[in-house]
Amino acid sequence: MNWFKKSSKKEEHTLPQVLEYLKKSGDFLDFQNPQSPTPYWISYFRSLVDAEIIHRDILPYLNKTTIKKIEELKAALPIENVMVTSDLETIRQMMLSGCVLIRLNEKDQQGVLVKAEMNKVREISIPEEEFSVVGPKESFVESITTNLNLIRKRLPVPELEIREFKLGKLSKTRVAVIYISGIANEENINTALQRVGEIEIHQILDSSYVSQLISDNDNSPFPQLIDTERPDRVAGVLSEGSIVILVDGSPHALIGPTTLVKFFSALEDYFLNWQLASVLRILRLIAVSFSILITPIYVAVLNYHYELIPKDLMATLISSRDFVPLPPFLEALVLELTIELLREAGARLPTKVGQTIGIVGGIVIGTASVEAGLTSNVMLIIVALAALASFTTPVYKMSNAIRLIRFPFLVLAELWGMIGISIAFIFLMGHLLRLTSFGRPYLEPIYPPRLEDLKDAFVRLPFKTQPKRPVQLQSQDTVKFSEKAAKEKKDIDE
Amino acid sequence: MKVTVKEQFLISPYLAFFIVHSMQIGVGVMGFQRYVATYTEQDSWLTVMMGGAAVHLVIWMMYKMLNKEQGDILSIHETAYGKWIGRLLTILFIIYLIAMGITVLRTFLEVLQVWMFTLMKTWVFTFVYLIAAYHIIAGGFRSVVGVCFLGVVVPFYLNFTFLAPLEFSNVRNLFPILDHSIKDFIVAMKPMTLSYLGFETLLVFYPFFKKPETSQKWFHYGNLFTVVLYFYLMLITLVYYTPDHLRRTIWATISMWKIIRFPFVERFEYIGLATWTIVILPNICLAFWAASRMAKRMFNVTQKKSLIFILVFAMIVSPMFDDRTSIEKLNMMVSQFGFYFNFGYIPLLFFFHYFMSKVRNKA
Amino acid sequence: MKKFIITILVICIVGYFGRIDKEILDDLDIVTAVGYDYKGKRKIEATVVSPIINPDKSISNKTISSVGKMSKEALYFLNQKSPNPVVNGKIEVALFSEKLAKTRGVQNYIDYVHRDPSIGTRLILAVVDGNVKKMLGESFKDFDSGTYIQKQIDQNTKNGFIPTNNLHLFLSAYYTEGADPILPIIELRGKKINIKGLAFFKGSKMVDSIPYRSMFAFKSIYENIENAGYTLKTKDKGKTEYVSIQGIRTTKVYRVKNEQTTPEITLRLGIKGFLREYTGDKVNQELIDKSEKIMAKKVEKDAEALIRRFQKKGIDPLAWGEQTRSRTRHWDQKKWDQQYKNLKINVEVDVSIFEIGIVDGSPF
Repeated sequence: MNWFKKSSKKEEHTLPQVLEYLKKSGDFLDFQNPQSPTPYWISYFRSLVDAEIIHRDILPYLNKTTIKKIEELKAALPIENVMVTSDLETIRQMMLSGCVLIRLNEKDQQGVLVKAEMNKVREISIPEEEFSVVGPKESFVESITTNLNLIRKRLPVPELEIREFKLGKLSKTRVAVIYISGIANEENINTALQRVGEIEIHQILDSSYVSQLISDNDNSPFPQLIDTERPDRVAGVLSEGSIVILVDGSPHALIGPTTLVKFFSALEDYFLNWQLASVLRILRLIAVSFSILITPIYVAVLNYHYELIPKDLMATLISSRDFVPLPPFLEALVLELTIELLREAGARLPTKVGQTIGIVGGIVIGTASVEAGLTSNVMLIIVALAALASFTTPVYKMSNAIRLIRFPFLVLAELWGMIGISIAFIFLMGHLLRLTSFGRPYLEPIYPPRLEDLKDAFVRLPFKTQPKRPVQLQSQDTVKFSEKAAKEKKDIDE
Repeated sequence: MKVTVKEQFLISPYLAFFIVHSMQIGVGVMGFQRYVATYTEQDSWLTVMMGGAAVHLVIWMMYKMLNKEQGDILSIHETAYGKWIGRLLTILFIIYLIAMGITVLRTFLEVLQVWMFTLMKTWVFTFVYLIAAYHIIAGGFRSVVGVCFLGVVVPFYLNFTFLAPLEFSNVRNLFPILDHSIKDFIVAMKPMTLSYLGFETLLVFYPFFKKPETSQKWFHYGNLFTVVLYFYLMLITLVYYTPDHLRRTIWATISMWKIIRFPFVERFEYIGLATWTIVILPNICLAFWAASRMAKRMFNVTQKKSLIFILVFAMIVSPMFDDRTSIEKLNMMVSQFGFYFNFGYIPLLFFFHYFMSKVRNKA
Repeated sequence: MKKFIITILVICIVGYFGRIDKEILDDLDIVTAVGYDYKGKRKIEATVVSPIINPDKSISNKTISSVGKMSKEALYFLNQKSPNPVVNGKIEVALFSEKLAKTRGVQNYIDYVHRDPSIGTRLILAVVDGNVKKMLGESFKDFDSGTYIQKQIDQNTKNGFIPTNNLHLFLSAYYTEGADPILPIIELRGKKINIKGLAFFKGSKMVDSIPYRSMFAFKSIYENIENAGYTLKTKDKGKTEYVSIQGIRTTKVYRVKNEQTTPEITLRLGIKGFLREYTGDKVNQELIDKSEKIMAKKVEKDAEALIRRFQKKGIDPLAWGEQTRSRTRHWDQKKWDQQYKNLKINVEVDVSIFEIGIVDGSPF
C-alpha cells in the first residue's frame, strides 16, 4: 500500500491547502455565496451531499441574517449535527462522509461542519436466501443505520450495546459489534472486539470479508460464523448471548460463537410447532449426510463391494451401466461437475435466464446423456438427489461447504471403497473436533456432550423445556425465564 | 509430586466413562470369544463378569495411588523407587503404549486384508491412518477425548446388529449352566482380561480431569459398560456358535455379521468393518498421545516432536509384521505384557507405593 | 506453500501406491450358484452359474464348468475359462451330487465356502439327485438358475417341509457333538426343480435319506412349522374323505430322565392347526376331534419310525444328543454314542385344530 502512503506524505498544514487538495476531484465544490448578507464560503462533495438538505435547511437560514462569528453561524442553523472545528483530519474525514463545511472567510482555519449526507438506500425487502413462509418478512439492507434500527426495534433494552469500528484503510467501513451486556459472555465479547479491532485490510466490501478475517481457522471449508439476512434471527441469538457483527454496506449480519448444528436450523423451526420443527430438522440432517455420502457410497459399492448390493437391485444396476464407457468414479465426477456447472451458470445469470438454463441443463442434458449411453440413469438420479439434498441447508455458505467436502469423500471411496469413506469421515471428524468459533467448540453439543443444548440441536423441544440459555455460549445470566411457571403442574379438573 | 495442567485443557470427569470404554473396545472384541470359550465353553459369560470384576479392582488401586499422588505414573514411580529406577520403568511403560497402538492398527489392517482388500499395502494404509491420528492428537487431549466420545457414540448402532444372529441361535447351547471347575475359570480369566486392557492409560491422563477424584465413579461405570457389552456379545456368540464351531472361528464377532441380510444391504460385514475403522481410532490416538505425553514429561522435549518420532517409528515398524503368525505373536506379546503389568505389577506397585509414601512422609 | 506442496505430494503417493484391485460390478461374472459333480475317484467337476443381464433387463444363464482335484483348483480353472473375473461374493446355493456326497463327503467343499470371507453364511446347501451340471444349465424363466433354486428352497422352508437350512446351521450341526447335519435333496424333473426329500449326514458324508412324505413329521420335531399343510384321510359314512390341515405352530417340551445313567427322552409335541379344506359334507366338532386324533396318531407313528431309523443308522439329525447334553452335568460323548442306538425316545403328539376358516358347517 505504498502508493497510498506516498500521496499522503505531502502533508497539508492549513485548511485552505486541504481544500485545494480536495478540489482536484471534479465533484468537489468550494464557492462563496454572493447573495447572502454575510459572504460565507461553503464547500462539499456534490456526490455525497443531499442537495435538498442544503437548499431547505442550510442556505435559507444563512441568507437571512448577518453573521460575524463562527459560533453565531452554528446557532443560526436549525440542524442538530453541527460542529465547530479546526482539526484538519476531522474536517477531511467528515467531508468525505457527507458533511458540508462553512467558513466565513476563504483563509479561515476554522469552519462549521454540517451533516447533510445523502441517504439513498434500498427499501427493506423480503428475505430471499432465508425465506420463510411463517414469520416476519423483513430483511437487512445495505445501510448499517437501518439495520441497527431493525435490531433495536426488536430489543428495546438499554443493555443492547453497540461498539463501532471504522475498518479498511480505503473503505473506512463502519463495523458494529453488537451484544447484550449482562447476557453475553465477557470472554466472547472481548474475543470479538479484539479480533474485529485488529483487522488490517484496505477495503471491506461485505460482511463476508470480516467473517473470513476473524474466523478461528481460515483453512477450513466450514463457515465458523453464521451469516443471516434476518433481523429476527439476529434478535433471537442476541438474547441467547451470541455476538452479532454488522458491516455497513452489507445486508448480512454475522453471528458467533456458533456450532455446526446451528447451521442446520432454520428460523422457521421456531415459528412452527415443535414436533414439526423437529421432524424438519432431522430431515435436513439426513439430507445433508445423504448429500455427502450417497455418491461416494455408490462409487464404493460399484467399485469394490458388489456383495452388498441386494439381488433385486443388481439387474437394474448392471443393465443401466451396460453401455457406459466410464468407470463409476469418473462417471460420478463428470456428473457432479455438470451439476456444479449448471448451478454456477444459473447463479451468474439473471433469474429468468438462470431458470431456463436449469431446466435445459437438467432435463435435456441429463436425458440425452443417458440415452446416448454416456452415463447410467441410476448415477444420474443419485447425483441429482445429492445436489438437491445439499440445498436444504438454511445457511447458504454451509451448503457450499457440504458440496465441497463431497469430493474428498468421492476420491477416497474410489481409492479404498467403504474403508476410504470411513477414513474420510475420520479426517472430517478430527477437523470438526479441532474447529472452534470465537474459541468455543464447534461440534458442541455433540462434543463436548451437553444434554441441555441437545434440546435445541437435532430436534427442537418446546420452549417450556428450555428455560436456560445455551451452555455453549457461557452466558453471564443463564436464565431465560422462570422455570417455575413452566413446570407448574395441575391435577385433572383443577 | 503434583502434576498440574492448565485449566483450559482440563476435561469434565464424566468423560472418563467414554475414554475407558473406547479404549477397551478395539480389536480384541472382534475375536475374544474363542480364546475364553476354549476353557469355559458355555459358561464363558461368567468369565466375562469375573474378568470385569478383576479390572474394577485394579482400577480402584490405580485411583488410590493417583489420588494420593495427584500426578501420573511417572510421579508414582519416582515416589516409589526414586528418580532413576522410576524413570527406567516408565520408559518400559512408554514402549508398551507404543506397541499397543501399533498392535491395534496392524491387527485391524490384517482383518481388512483378509476380509476385503487382499492387496492393500500395509504401509500406505498405516501412513494415511497415522496422518489422521496426528491431526487429531495435535489438537491436544481435548480432541483425543472427543474422538473417544465419538468412537463410542457413532458406532453404537453396531450393537443392535448383533441381535440378528439370534434368528439362527439355540438357547440350549448355554446349558448346563456352571459345568466347569473353578480351575477352568481361573485359566480362562487370563485371555478374558486381555480384552479389557487399555484402561491403564489412566496412569497418564489422570491429571487432565477437573477434580480428578470425582472421575473415579465414571471410570468404574465405563468399565462396567464394557463388561455389559462383552457379556452381551459373549451370550450371543455362545448361543449362535456351538463350541467346536467357535473354536475354529478366528473373528467370531465379525463372522456373526455374515448372516445378516437387510433389504437394502445384503452383506453387513463390509459396512461393519468400515465402521470399525472409527472404533479403533480412540485406541490408537490415546495410546500414542499417552506415549508422547510421557516422553515429554521425561525427556524435556516438546510433545509435538515426541509424537512425530513415535508415529514415524510406528510407520516403520508396522509393515514388518506381514503374516498371521507374526501378527499373532505381536498380539500375544503385547497382551502378555499388558496382563502382567495390570494384574501383576500394579498390585505390587500399589503396596510398594503405599509403603514408600509412608516412609517418605516420615523422613 | 510448503504445506500445500507436501499435501499434494502425500495425496499423489497415497493415490498411486494405495490402489487396490477393483471389482467393478458390470465387469464381473458374479456367481450365484456353485455345484460339484463326481467325476471319478480323484476328480470332481465344479460348475458355476452367473446371470447375464441383458440391457432389456432379461436374465439368462451362463455356466462354466471345469474338472479338478480340489474344489479350489477347479475354480481356478473356471477363471481361466471366463473373460471376466469370477467372483464368489454372491453365491446363494451350493449343490452336491448325491454320489459325491455319499462317496467322498462334502467336507472339502464346505471348507472352501466357509473359509472364503466373501461368501455369506446364509448360503443354502443342497444335495442333487442326478447331474448338477445339467440342473444348473437349465434355464428358468425370469431368474438365473442359482437364484431360482435359492428362491424355491427358501420358499419351501418358509411355507413347506424343508427344515431351515444354511451354511451356518450346517456347520453348527457338523461341529456339534450331539447333532448331525441335514440337507434337502432336490432333483430336476422336466423343466422344474422338485423337492425330493432330505439327506442325512454322518460327519460330512451322506448316509441316509427320507422321501418327501416323511418330511412333515421330521420338520415338526426339528423346528417350528409355520405354514406347511398336511392332508389326512378320514372315513365318513364309509366314504374316504380328505381333510387338509395347515400347521400354524408347534410347541415342544423335552423331558430327559436318568440323564446320568441311561437317558430316556420324552418329547411332547403340540401341533396347532387350522382346517383348510374338507372334501366331505360337514365340518363339525366331531370331525375335528376325529381328525385331531388321526393326525396325532399318524405323526406319532411317522416320528417314531424316523427315530428308530436314525438310531439304527447311528445318526442324530434331530439333536437328541444336544438335548441330553444340555441337561447333563459333565456329559460324556463316548458313552452317549454307545447308548444312542438303544435309547428310549418317546414322542407324544397332541394336535389341536383351533380354527376352521370363515365357513361354518357345510357350504351347501
